[in-house]
Amino acid sequence: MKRYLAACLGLFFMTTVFAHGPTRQQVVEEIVINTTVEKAWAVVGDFSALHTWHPAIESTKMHGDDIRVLSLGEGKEIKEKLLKRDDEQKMLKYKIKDMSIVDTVEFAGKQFERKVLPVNTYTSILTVVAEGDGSKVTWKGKFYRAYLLNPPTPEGMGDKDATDTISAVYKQGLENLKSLLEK
Amino acid sequence: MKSKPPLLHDRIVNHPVGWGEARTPPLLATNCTLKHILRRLPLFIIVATLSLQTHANPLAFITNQLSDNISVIDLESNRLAKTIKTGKTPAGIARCDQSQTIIATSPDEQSLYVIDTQTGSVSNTIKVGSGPLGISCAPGAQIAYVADWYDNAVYVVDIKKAAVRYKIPVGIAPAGLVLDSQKQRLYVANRDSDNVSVIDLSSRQVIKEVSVGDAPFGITLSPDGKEVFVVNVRSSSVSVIDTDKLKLSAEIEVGEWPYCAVVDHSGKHLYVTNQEEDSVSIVDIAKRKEISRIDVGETPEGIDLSPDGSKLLVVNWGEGSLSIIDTLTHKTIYKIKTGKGSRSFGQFAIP
Repeated sequence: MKRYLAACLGLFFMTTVFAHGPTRQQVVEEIVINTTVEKAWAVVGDFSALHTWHPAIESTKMHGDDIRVLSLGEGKEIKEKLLKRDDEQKMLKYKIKDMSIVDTVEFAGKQFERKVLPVNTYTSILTVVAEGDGSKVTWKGKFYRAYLLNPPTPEGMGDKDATDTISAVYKQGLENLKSLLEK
Repeated sequence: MKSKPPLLHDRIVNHPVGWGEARTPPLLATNCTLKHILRRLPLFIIVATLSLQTHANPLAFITNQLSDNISVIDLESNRLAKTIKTGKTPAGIARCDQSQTIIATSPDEQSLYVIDTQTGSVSNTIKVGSGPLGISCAPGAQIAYVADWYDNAVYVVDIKKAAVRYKIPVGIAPAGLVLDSQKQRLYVANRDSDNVSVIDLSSRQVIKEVSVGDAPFGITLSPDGKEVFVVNVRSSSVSVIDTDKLKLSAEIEVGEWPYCAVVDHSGKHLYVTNQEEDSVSIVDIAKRKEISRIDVGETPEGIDLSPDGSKLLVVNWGEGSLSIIDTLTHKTIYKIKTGKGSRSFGQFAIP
């Protein structure tokens, strides 16, 4: 049945869901916070608490223990799945399952949907390690750009759009986390 | 600083070694006066730093897709021997022309970077298609077969003439491909049509399409040529194709989001990189079953064996390193720092 459904939807979703560009991107941002590893991990390691420290997130709604829906306001949502939480290593790993569509852009005579984040097949890892007397929080993302076909890419859907956006999202979150934890 | 314990590779000093060493005797020969040394020194330095002519040790070439270069690892001293600057995003890789040449693909630059293993530098850049990714070379001929991710085709490229000679249409988003020199065929994994195209090399026609798992990416051949192993990214499995019958003979479960595979020289074990589990699955080929798992670095992708088969080489994309694993004990013996976005999708070790 699963196969049959996949075959029916195949032509439509083939390029919109499954395919991706050949070059996977990577972004790493880190910050040193003057607090203990335990305190930092209590905040960072809570999968349901991103809205408490990331300014772009208004609220988090949990579905079970491993699915969260982040609300960014104006109806923008990101659905993410927890892949791994390791309290010993202080590591949280998750991926984006779905995102709401923000607008569409016309490119080469076709319409392309733009989503909340201009990425595809996105996984992310947050870790906390001791750094001197404080903690170092590292946020790493692995993803492909939004545009799935060969270049040139529509506005806002290229490799650089993807890396710049994720880098800015991480920096904004980490800086706010630092100011909250150092209060 | 009381941060995490030092990684294995932190203890390994990265500096050029190995190349040009055999050129040292003339310098140390008798009547070696200071004048002689001084006169020959500049030449020696040039030879020692630029030439690979006399490299005696096996090497691994690691494409760093996000730092636009290739790390060359000396597999005898287990050190970084050289970093070769390339154009943008080297990804796929193949050993060609009896290992005289290594060729890397660049989907972003739509090019092949031809690297002379004697000099350790890019000797030519060949424009190919829209998104060249997987690559395999014909032994003893100056021909490379290149899977093009966007053009849904395999290009036949004449390396010496630096020109595309033929275009063979295959399935959707072809990724890995492997050459079967016994049967004179190419097997191509089509990621988005969930099948393998079998190409007859003499007629340059697809003679069969074999359906496999969900999103096949990496592909490899058993040493006896009897079986092809295709890694299915989305179904976390490996499909086995019987090359005599050209039929699917088994599907073996491995780790999450597997990428690429290689068979050991004895034909007993298949090793598969699991991207989302930071591990390598060891599959007992006869039993059609995963028997064990080895922890490697973050997000492992390319995988190959050292030419003598004693070491398993795993390229960790997420952290930019090469894990070197003893194939007898299945223990990691070295981890060497490479560049950013290390991939080496293909055959990347040379004798």
